Amino acid sequence: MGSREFYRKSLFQENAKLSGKTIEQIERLEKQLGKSFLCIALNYGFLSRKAWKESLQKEEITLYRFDFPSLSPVPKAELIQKNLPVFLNSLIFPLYQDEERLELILSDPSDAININQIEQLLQQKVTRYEVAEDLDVLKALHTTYGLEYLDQAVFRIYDQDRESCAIETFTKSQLIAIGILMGLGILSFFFFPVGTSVTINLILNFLLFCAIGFKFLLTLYGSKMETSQKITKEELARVKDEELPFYTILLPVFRESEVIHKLVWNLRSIDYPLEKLDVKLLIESDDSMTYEAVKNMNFPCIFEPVVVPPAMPKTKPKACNYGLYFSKGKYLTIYDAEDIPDSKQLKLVYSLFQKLSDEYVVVQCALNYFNKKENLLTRLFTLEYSYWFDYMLPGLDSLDVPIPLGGTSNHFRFDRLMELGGWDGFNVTEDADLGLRAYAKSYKVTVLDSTTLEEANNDFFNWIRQRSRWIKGYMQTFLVHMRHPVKLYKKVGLKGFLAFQFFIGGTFFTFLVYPVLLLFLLFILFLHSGILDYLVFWNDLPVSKSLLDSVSVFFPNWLVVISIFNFVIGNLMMIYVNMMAVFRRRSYTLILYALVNPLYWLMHSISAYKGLIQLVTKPFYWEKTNHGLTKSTKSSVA
Amino acid sequence: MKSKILLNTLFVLALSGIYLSFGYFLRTKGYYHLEGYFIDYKIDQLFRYDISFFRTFYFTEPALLFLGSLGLSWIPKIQSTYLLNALVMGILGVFLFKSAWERRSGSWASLIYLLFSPVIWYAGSSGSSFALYLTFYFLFFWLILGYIRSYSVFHLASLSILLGAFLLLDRSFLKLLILLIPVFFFISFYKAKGIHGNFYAKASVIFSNDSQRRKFFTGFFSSILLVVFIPLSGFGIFHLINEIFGGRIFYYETSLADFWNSYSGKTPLHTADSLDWKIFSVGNLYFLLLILCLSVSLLYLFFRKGKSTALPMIAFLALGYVVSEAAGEKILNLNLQLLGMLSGAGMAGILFSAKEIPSAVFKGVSLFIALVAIVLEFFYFQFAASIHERRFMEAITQSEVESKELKNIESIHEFLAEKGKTRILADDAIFFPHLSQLPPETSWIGHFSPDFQHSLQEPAIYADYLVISQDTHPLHLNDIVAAALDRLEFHGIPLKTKVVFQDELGLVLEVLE
Repeated sequence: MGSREFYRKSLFQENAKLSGKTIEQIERLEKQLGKSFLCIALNYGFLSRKAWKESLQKEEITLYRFDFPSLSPVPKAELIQKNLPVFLNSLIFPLYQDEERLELILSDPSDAININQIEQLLQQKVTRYEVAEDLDVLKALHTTYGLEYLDQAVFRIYDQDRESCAIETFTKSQLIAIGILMGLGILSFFFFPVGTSVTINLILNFLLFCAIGFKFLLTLYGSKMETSQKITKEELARVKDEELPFYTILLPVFRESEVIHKLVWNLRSIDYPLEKLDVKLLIESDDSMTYEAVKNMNFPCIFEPVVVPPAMPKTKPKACNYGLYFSKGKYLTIYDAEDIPDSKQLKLVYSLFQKLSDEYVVVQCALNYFNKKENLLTRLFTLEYSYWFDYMLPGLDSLDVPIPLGGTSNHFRFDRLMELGGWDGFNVTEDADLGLRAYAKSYKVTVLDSTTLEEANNDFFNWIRQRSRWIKGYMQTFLVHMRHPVKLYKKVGLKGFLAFQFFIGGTFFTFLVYPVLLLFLLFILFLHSGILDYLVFWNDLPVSKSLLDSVSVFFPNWLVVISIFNFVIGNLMMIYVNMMAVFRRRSYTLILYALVNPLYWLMHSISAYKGLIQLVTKPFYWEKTNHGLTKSTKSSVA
Repeated sequence: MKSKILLNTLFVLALSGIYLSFGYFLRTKGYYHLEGYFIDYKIDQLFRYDISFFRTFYFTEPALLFLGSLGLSWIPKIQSTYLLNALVMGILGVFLFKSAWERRSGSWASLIYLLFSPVIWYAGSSGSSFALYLTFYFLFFWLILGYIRSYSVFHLASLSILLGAFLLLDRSFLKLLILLIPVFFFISFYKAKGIHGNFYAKASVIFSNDSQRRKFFTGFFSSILLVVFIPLSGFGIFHLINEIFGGRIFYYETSLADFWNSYSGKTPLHTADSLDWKIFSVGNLYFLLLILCLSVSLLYLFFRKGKSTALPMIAFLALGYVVSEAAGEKILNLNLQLLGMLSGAGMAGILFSAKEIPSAVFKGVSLFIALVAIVLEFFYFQFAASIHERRFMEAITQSEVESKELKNIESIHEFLAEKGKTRILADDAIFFPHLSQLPPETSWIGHFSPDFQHSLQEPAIYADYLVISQDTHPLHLNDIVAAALDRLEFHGIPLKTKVVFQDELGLVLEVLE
């Protein structure tokens, strides 16, 4: 573009129709936050991207179209990488540079201050510039100059502490241990077939009972804390806006064009001073769906897009880790795109952090669903989340044992999070893993009775995908932390060690064992019923009886009785836990759905086996959960 | 924290030791309880025969006393039920006193009640299942009051677990669910959110608004469902076990020798003295006066100023329940279990209300109630229909209790124990006290022995000694072994025996060939 000059007044006031008062407000924030005028206008809810584009078009500016694959760093790339935040805030991309020429792509041609700043930084006058949309400039900056940060985002945990990284699914010693166990099992079965099958059955039954019993007791223990409030209304009222620190919100999204509009409105309802919010929308560079949706938003939004450069594994933790390097909050939280957080949540967390000692590094808020009554699946999902977040996690909290964090609404002390190395990009339940890593480093995690409403999965296959990832992640987490069981025991103590075994190990174990026991019992009952004798009509002899006699050699009657008893008690306990779940949120109409829980467990088992297969075949593969499928809105919560 | 736990444990052990010593002191004076013997006999039975394991394990009643005692049966020389009672009451006593001490105002009443109430001492040292009854009732009302105060699901779930677990003690506890319905109904009004005002204002808004009404009833029914789920599931599983091991869903209704008084109907070994009972049931002036004092004190508590309606509500319900139970059949139903219910409700109520009533007034009223209750309990034990309960009081007040039953048990037990390796045939539904705690080398044939029926026909092949009841024994007609001997005699089948021991109630025959 030539030497044509543009003015803020014409671009923002006349074309984009911003009032003088708004411009004053943006200018005040510009000084306060050290960001460009356009950056503030677009990311702090003053101006929509679409309106800005139209404003540029009114000035007959031809928007520059990047050829992203061909972008390459300029000679002073190192300087740019070092000062990447300055370029991001200025929305300026150095396209070409040699000794005589400096060509920039910028988003706001009226922003002389930032152009001058870049000239000073690069110690060269701009010879030519083009204007592009802000998102394109950001993408170009991140994909060209953000690779150093990307490398850190992917490999930091691995570099810091190789043993804590899930990049290696099974270690050599674990494979040997599994091999020895299997070998012993086969040998025992060969020499003592009856004793071995009885012992294995007894062990499975015992572990199943322990895992379910532990969850039951945990829920009961957690329900004790139901009425306690960690932050009272009075304490909250005493919080003054001036004392609040910067708060970063990371919003990792992937193909979320459906919910991106809702996200904007949900963020607007957060009760926190706008200028102290640092909201980062983390978009994968190849996610054109979300990218285009953000570009074409026709209403102002309050997030700052961060385009994550392409790299494997393509996981949420990797995106979040990348976002960490551009965050400036004292505290940091993560929300999913469809989340509706409690409007007071950030202030509540801030107040809680003020009350807690420094060893507390994470606060996990409760999650629940706004579309609970949409169908059977959402109802069951709601029951599960309710007992998990309302009772079970508080139970873990009061027992002072490791808490596996939930996927979103976990609030961190930023400095401690960086110290912990962020999330493990290779773990598909990075949040659960982080909770354990924090505990192992003598940090503490606590829970808070403030709720974020999410969208419950209302589609069977979508649910299976999501759940298989979660269960696979639990398996990964279990394997990672059990690489050195003695070390883990020393780090977390007996209580923490047992809680880890039952809560993390027990979770996937029960889902894997459940259908095996169910099929076995159904088979026995089938034989007892004598139906088989009718089916084998050509044989006069009772087939069921002879089969039962053969089976009873390996599974004597007393063992079958114990198995049935255990199975029935286990199911009843889980049904009861689900029943308890409705009380805190007064969703009484869901109580009878708890009776369907055994079916829901079967779905878990399907997911568990899918997760197990994936653990071996593609351990880092992130099964994407589709959001925005619901037709419910927040108003249907009540 | 650790020192606190240690201190509490020491207090519990000390109090348990006192109860245990007191129990043994009473035994030296002639007190005994058949239930304790029965549980010991069943523990012995558990591993005696292969086929008796499941049956004994699943069907012994009261199962909770059996299971608790089983866990303590490894301690030699002490009857496990006495130990269990002492421990349970030790824990309950320390908890009560600690709670009362923390709340201050109720501490004197609680202390005096704990020290002087015959109900407490009976529970701690009788060797029966009453300690468990008392604990159950205390916890039951404690949890209800807790729910009324906090509306917490924790209390509901705990109530459900409590009822589910204590069904193993007494299945009639299911009836208590009826007691909970009015509690949940009225509490649902207070639980309603966003409605202000008194009870009537809330009720009027709830019933005039569709959404509120729906929430009210779903909440109310959900509370009931949550509480009944575990007891009813437990009840269902119990029936399933009956089907599996007994062959019939209602097997327990007809099975014999699974509970200690199965041979003698509902009032086993009761010597109901109609004259004494008349005094108790019709009432005399002192008795009525005491009842009046208690009623006035309770009325004061009902109408006192304060926001909580918990105590009066519960007191009314408990009293109503007792009255309705007793109205059915006074002699059978106005028993120690119901007294335990009132006692448990009272203890829970006093502890809960201690915070809400002006300290000095509450101290006086609660102390007065405790004293009156103690006097009434003394009356009860003095005139009780159950011989065990009366004997307990007699053992306290008299220097020695004349007990031919205990002498009979001890003498026969001693006689058999001396014989060493020998085989005994007896109707163990009657002679379980005599057979329990025999040395392991002594084998005996009873109802659960695979050879029982055969041995009744050919005693000489299976037994060295026969234990039978005298004609004067109240259960002589139920004595299967005695009946078998009569039958053999009637049919002229010879059996050479020699009486080697006898007393007023029983005799031991030595089989000579």
